[in-house]
Amino acid sequence: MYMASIKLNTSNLDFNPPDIRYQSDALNILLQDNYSTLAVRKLDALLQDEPYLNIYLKNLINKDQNFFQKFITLYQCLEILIGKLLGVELKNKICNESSSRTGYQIKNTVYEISKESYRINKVLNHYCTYQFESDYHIGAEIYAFFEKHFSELINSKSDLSNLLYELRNQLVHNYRTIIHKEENQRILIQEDLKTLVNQLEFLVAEVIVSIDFSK
Amino acid sequence: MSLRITSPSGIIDLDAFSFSTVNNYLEVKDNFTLTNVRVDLDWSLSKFPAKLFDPKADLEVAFLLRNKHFPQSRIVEVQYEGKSIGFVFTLNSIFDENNEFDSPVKKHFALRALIRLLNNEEYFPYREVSLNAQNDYQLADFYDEDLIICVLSKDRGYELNDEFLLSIYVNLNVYGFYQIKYKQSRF
Repeated sequence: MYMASIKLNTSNLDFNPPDIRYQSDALNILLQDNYSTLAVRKLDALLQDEPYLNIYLKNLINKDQNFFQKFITLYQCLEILIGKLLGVELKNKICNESSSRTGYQIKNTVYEISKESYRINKVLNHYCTYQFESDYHIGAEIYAFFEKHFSELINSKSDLSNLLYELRNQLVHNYRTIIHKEENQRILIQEDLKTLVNQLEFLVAEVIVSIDFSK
Repeated sequence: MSLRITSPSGIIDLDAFSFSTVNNYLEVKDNFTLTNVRVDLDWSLSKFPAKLFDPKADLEVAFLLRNKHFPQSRIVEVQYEGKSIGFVFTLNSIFDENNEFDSPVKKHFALRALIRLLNNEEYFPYREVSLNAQNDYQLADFYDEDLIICVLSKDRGYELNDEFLLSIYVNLNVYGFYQIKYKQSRF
């Protein structure tokens, strides 16, 4: 007898979506009301034709990646933002004010705004309309991570931008030291990193939609 | 690319779309074998304008999403500058008894979503289904019921160009929505 069967051929559909996801805090808030409206915020003009963001949203963030790959994918978005910010700050602080400044002052300003930590700080604390320091718990999570595993790298003054920059340094430049740690400790760190990076995803999305370079 | 059923004798293309505003159903079928997928609705289709039933009508942008935390029966209205431009909902929600499709506007979007999914003009990724003995197929055989569809109207005064859509994709990502990744080229 010919048995009825439905063959699940996944050749044309990605059936391996990233299911192990944290729930977005924003979604929780959105669903609190009986009738939910999602108000679209238009991206800053400098980001609207950024090709990486298209690739990121269509082909990268929806892929199952380990936390390390995912961090690199996410951090690339921040790299783009701080790259755009460099142009914006050079224009505002140098081009628009060069006649009233000495060469020495211009050199110092250029040095200051070329620092990655400075620009991450500016992205989060000046050009974003979102209040990350007060409203996003990711800063506390990253702080807790460092306190637990790398307390020597932070201090009480470390804010979200310092913490993000330090996290980036640990993963991009110093990951081998984590790999070389004793197995139990390594597993613990990697599990915590996995949690952090998943949460970071929503922070990055929020930074992208709330950045306003015209501020 | 129409929905397809694979059979030992080859591919069956469900490329003939029809509908009934009397019996309230939408259907795609293969005119040769009469193999079909039919969607029966528990609301009347009689008051919708004829152009809504045209699968090729360029009325909206639609794309598929996933978000495992998104409740199956919920509908989210998408707004820009205070104006409604579309809705986000699961395929399941259209058939849910407690669904929120309680207004003609929402039903309009649900109807267009179903027509889009049945005709698949966008090359949505779907499961290939094998011929079965009952020759009975459901839309859910091709698309997961928890699949989320975002339908955005083109007649709300905003050009839904690539730049604007990029803004929408990022906004959706803030809420944990991910676009379904196409494994094959859409075009």
